[in-house]
Amino acid sequence: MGKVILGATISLDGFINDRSGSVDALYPDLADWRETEPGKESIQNTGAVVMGKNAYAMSEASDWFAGNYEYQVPIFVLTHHIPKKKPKETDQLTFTFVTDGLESAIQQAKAAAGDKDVNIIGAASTAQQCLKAGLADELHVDIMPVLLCDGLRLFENINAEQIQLERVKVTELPAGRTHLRFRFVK
Amino acid sequence: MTKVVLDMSMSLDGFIAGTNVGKEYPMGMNGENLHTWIFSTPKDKVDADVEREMFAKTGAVILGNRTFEIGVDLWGRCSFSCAIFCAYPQGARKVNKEKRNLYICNRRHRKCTSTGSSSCRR
Repeated sequence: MGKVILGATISLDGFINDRSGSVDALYPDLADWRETEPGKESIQNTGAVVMGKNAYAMSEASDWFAGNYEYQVPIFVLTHHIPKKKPKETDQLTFTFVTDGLESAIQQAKAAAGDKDVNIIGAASTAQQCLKAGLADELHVDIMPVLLCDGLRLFENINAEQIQLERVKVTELPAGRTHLRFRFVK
Repeated sequence: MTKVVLDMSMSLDGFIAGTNVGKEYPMGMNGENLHTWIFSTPKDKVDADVEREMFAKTGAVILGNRTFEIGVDLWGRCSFSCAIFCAYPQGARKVNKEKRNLYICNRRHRKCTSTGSSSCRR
């Protein structure tokens, strides 16, 4: 049975983007990430992706994903409006637009992923919903050595009782990236 | 060359203490969870190494006012046995002789007065 993984990259002070909404300071190493050990492992183990609507909108053209995105797997996009024209798909990478919420998207992604993992890739609101409702098995946080001082915080509006985490792994990566892997203690 | 190190234990969501920090909850409510790495037994090897290195490499400590105020009675003395500096103008009278490694920095005079010896042994 695959795991449901919530992943995010944050600044040391906990932001996922800066005041202007830019994520550039957090991903100076975007091109090289696929070659890192956690990158390779993630690409290999991911059977489906759940993507928040903001994360989906961040790509300049939705046709870009097919053949280019690191995860060539079924993608479930959270949205309120299903686009009239479906983005380009391949045999591996398909798009499903989910309008009835994160939990439903995760269920559908699990079915599509089979034995592999489901990766939740979202901006702050998707991640917060996921934390709040306890929908993930693991939390993968990459910390970059920068203080953004302003922007969107990953761990905000959670209003949950203390969430207990157990550290699974720490990996130091190039560009000062520290990959932290936690299991949610349920 | 001596480095000046700012050292903190922080939760993953960026907090360094719980709520209601005071004499009753010196680290705030549930704040002690941030320091189990240093107080737990048996100690994790990595934690033990980090702690050993921290004590071995530290030659002087600067203690914030708030930490001093809350901690000084509680601990009896600071866990570090080297020279402790604290910017606490009114504090000099409160420090008894057992806390011999404590220096009180008087902000007005910008100089430090020792309350005793400054030997740095542990």
